[in-house]
Amino acid sequence: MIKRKWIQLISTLIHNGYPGFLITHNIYSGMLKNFCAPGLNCHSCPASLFACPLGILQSFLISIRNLPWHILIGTFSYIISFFLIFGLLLGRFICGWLCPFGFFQELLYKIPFFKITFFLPYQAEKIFKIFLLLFFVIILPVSISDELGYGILWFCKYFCPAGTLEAGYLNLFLQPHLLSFIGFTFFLKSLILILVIFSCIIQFRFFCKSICPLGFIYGLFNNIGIFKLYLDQNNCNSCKICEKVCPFKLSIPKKLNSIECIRCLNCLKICPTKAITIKLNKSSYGIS
Amino acid sequence: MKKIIFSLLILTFLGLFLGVFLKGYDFIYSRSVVLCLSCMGLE
Repeated sequence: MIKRKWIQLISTLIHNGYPGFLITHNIYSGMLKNFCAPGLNCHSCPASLFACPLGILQSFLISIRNLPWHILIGTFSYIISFFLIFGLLLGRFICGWLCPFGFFQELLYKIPFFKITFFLPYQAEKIFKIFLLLFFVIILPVSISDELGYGILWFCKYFCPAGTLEAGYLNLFLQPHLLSFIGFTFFLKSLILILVIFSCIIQFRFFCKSICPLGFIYGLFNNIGIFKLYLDQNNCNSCKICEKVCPFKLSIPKKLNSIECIRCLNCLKICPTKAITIKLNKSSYGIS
Repeated sequence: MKKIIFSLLILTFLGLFLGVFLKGYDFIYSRSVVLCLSCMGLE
């Protein structure tokens, strides 16, 4: 079976495949920026080839008061179709196999340091992610605006560690004149980034598991996406080895297609009786 | 469940069609080629 880390590396290189920034010291502005990337990857990163879906969603929401109706409908439809295509086709496969920030977290976890596995209550974690998505990504950007009618990208500005790392530090390095814009927000975001990095060193993919709103959106499609994990009850000998290799310690097979599953497919690979399989979601798509 | 998925599939194709027809990609392009100070945490 293809090694997941290689796919992640290739995906990270595709997400950030613009070497021209080394010469221009500026971000990519070619035609690929018409499209959203599947993973969490800031479009202000100098090497980024695509737009960040969360960033674009917020950019749209902060501008809704000022857009003519045809642009409003066109942009909304375009953004929603990206979420639906990615969600229905891949779901959280994106998190496990394609997301550059997810790959970065897995590399952090390889750092030899003490490891702990702490679990917030499942419901509390879920509520926190819903809160982040609803308030920081949707409600606050829409509802609070300046005198010109534009809002603030709340999640990007005050939270997103991917933006701080990929866009903030890299651009400050490439364009030193930006140093004059550093203020409280940058220090706050840097603190969040440090906390996230530390948490990811001691716990596997802490950000994906407990915070990422994009992962939460994709997780909603785990049960209704085109591909789904199945358990063959007849083959399962209840050895529970699948549960032991699950990086998120999900209670498999009960949570085989839960929102939390990032589709790393460790359970499928380890199963001695091949009871876990990945198939087309036949029941939902009416395929016989 | 089938009805929900069917609706989502229709929404996907309709959204993509409307998005391309009404040039929704222009907005995405215009926002993603500009250095976003908010994303960087700058003021």
